[in-house]
Amino acid sequence: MNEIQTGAPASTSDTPEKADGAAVEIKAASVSIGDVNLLNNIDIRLAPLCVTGLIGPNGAGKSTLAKVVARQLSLSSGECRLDEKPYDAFGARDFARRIAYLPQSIPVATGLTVHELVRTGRYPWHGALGQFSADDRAAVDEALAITGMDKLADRSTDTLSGGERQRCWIAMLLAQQASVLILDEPISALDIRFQIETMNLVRSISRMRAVSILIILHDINLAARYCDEIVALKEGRIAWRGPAASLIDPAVLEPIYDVRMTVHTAGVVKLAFPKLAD
Amino acid sequence: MGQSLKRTLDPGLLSGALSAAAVIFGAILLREPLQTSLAADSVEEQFERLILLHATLPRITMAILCGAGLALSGTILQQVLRNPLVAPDTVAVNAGARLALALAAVLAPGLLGFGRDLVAIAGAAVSTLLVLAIAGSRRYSPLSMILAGLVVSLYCGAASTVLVLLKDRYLVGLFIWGSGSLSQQSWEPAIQLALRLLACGLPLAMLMRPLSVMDAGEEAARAVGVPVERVRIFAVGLAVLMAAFVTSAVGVIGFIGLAAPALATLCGAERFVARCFWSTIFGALLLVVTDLAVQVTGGDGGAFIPTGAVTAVIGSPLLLVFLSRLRSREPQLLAVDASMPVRTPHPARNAPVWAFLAAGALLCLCFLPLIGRAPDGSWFILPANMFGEIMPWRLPRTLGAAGAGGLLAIGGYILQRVTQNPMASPEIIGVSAGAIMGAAIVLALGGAASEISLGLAAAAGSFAALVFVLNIAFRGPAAPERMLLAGVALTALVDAAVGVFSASGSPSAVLLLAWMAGSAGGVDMTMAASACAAALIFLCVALLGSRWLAVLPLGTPVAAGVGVRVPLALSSLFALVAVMTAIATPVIGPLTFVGLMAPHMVRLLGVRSAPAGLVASALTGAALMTIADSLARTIAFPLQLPTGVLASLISGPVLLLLIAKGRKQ
Repeated sequence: MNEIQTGAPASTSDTPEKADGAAVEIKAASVSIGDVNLLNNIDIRLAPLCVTGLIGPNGAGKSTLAKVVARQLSLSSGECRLDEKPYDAFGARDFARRIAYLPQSIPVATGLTVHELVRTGRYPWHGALGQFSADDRAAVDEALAITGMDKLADRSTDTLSGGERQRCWIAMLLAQQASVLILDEPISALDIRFQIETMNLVRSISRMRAVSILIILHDINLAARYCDEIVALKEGRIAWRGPAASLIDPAVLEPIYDVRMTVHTAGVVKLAFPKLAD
Repeated sequence: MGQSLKRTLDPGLLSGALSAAAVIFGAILLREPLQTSLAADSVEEQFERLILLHATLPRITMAILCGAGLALSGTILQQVLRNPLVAPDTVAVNAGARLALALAAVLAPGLLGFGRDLVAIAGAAVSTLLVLAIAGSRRYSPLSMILAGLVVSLYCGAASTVLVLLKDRYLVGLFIWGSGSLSQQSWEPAIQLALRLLACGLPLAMLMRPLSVMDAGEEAARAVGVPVERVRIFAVGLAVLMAAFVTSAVGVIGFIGLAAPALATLCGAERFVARCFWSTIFGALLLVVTDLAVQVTGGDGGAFIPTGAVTAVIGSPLLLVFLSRLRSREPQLLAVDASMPVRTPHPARNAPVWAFLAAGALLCLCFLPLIGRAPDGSWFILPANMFGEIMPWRLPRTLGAAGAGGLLAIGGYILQRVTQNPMASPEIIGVSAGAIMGAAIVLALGGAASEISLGLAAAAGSFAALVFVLNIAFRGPAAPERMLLAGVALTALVDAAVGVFSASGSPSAVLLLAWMAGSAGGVDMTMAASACAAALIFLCVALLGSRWLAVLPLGTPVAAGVGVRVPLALSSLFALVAVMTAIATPVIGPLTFVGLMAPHMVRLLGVRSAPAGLVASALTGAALMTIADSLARTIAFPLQLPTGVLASLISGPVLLLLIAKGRKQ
């Protein structure tokens, strides 16, 4: 096992799309709190039109990395660049117009209607005092339409089902019209149908809007199916990275999760499962 | 108890240190009288001896008994209610006893001679039952229990204040007693109290074992055959009895019942028996040390400084320290459960809501000042030809109350939205208390201070209080509870500090007392007009921040994610709340609850968007305070009650109802 772990290098850095157009570039990023190293020397690039799946066992540092990319957490060392400028060069709203972030835990009860919640996504554009303009209105309407929430626009978010609530928050992110979306486990609380719907939505957004998406997922099969690129974290380091198509392989998965895996093939789709103890 | 807190203190060491302090203070206090009285020859020396034997020594004994009784009562309550912040003070046992005694003194003075203890016990029992009933409707969650206890305490305090104002000649003594003075003239009360507390020993011994089993949790206790419900009823009864005996003997002694068990737990007393033992010892020692220190430092007037107020001054910071460090024994019980009903929106209903609010506020402002009472007590509406004579008297207080109510309501709305705590308001989380503290410090340091420096100090004080409370609140889990309790502790601290300050006889203390009572009657036209103007101006300023108010409740990550500079937004909003509170507090006092009530009413009316909520809160707050002021002016005619106290009397029950109903929807 150990052999494989060290022997599985960061195999490739060229994304399927043009690699030079990376919107976000994180170099040699490390985060430590006290003596604990949460992230160790991470390099990652997010390119337009590319859905990057972030996988790895619990405590691997996935959410920490998402927070770093979303500038919610500052680095202990390393560098973050957005559109070839360091993160510090952007003001709060300026940054929010480019990178939108959906945290792992979102408030359940907000007391807002769907429409009101989605409107808050326009804050980076109108600010604390600016007019809510026709552009803002159009962006909100479009976000509601894309996510299919337009029919529920006047419902209170508190009365929505889990899937609807998730879509509502994604709509809010869309209204933000950022070119990079960071989604921290957006489908963990959803049933299979909503998982598929949400992943389809994420994928089509990346294609339609030419945005880059970083999405944390627990389901490796979904990740392999809907992402373009996969980055696997383990103990704060990048354990593997490569095109999503090559993820489903015991030789790749076993060192990441320390679990014996088996792969089934159903038509063109390959599915990985943990091997049952015999 | 959190693992990290185990054995941070050694109980033996702590009690040794406290005993040493007691011995040192005792030596200072008793050296001279002891020397002289040993060789008592002259009349003067015999007088010294009399004081020593019949005042000083009984007082020390009394302190030991009271401290031990309260500490034990607190320990039992904490054990049965599984809540580390419960104590005779926090579940309103003391306040109920005090109010009952005040009522008896006014209505049926004969009762007091007949059975002072009975009256106190009845009062304590009623208030405790009330608290338990309210908390019971929310499954005795620790938050609701402490909140209900706090509100009932404040309510009883307000009622006692009104009684003192109405019948002051009977109750001046009660006022001093009420703040917990330990002065004694003979051994009799100490012996009586000792007997009563001893009588509690037998039932306590019988309850000891079932109570110990409850260490392992309620289910486990039930599983081994402990009749949990019955044990709980008896144990609470016993604890109330002990606290009522103490209160009946010396008045309200703050925080011993909370601090002593907390110290015992902090010393690593894991088992119930050990907690009882150590907390009794700590309670007795704490009160003796405090009382001796008060006598030593207080000089000749020391005998009259109420020790109960001093323990509160010392004890409430202690509570704040514990709050920031203490983990609940059952953390899952202290989980956030403060979510209040959020009505599903009724967009169609909004128009009538606005019409209703605007009309109501207008009606209150225009019509209520006209209602008055003639010298013979009959009610009448002011005819137009008397406007010139009467209005200069009524208009300032009405306007002042309305303006201040509006200010606090806006502050409450901002705090509730930003902190996501439905119980937050300037009064409850101690911002008002901070304003008074700021003014008190300036008065204590500089004596005669100008109004501007007082105002600035009040604003600085309220901002400091706000920052302090929020800092404590967000240092650990269960933020809403921490916030409330930190605020409560702060309010108690300021209340007690003002009590001690006024007992010191400083003339500027009178001003502080007026602030505490919140008497809009003393407001002049300039002050009233500036309160109203401030309400309007700050409403506009707050409206500028309404985008922040819409985004911040979604949580810091989301707010930062859409580009809100969260620290900047929070500090601006909090500074705004601090300034508004500092302007409003001198006009209507720190305990009106209007900052809590108005936003709730607005929410119940179905107003949800931030700007609408701000405006509606301001209107509701102004209307509520105008009503309270009109009542304060008329119901006890020809006496005029302090508006702030009356407002808390009116809103207290509504608030309790809110706490009781909160979770059901």
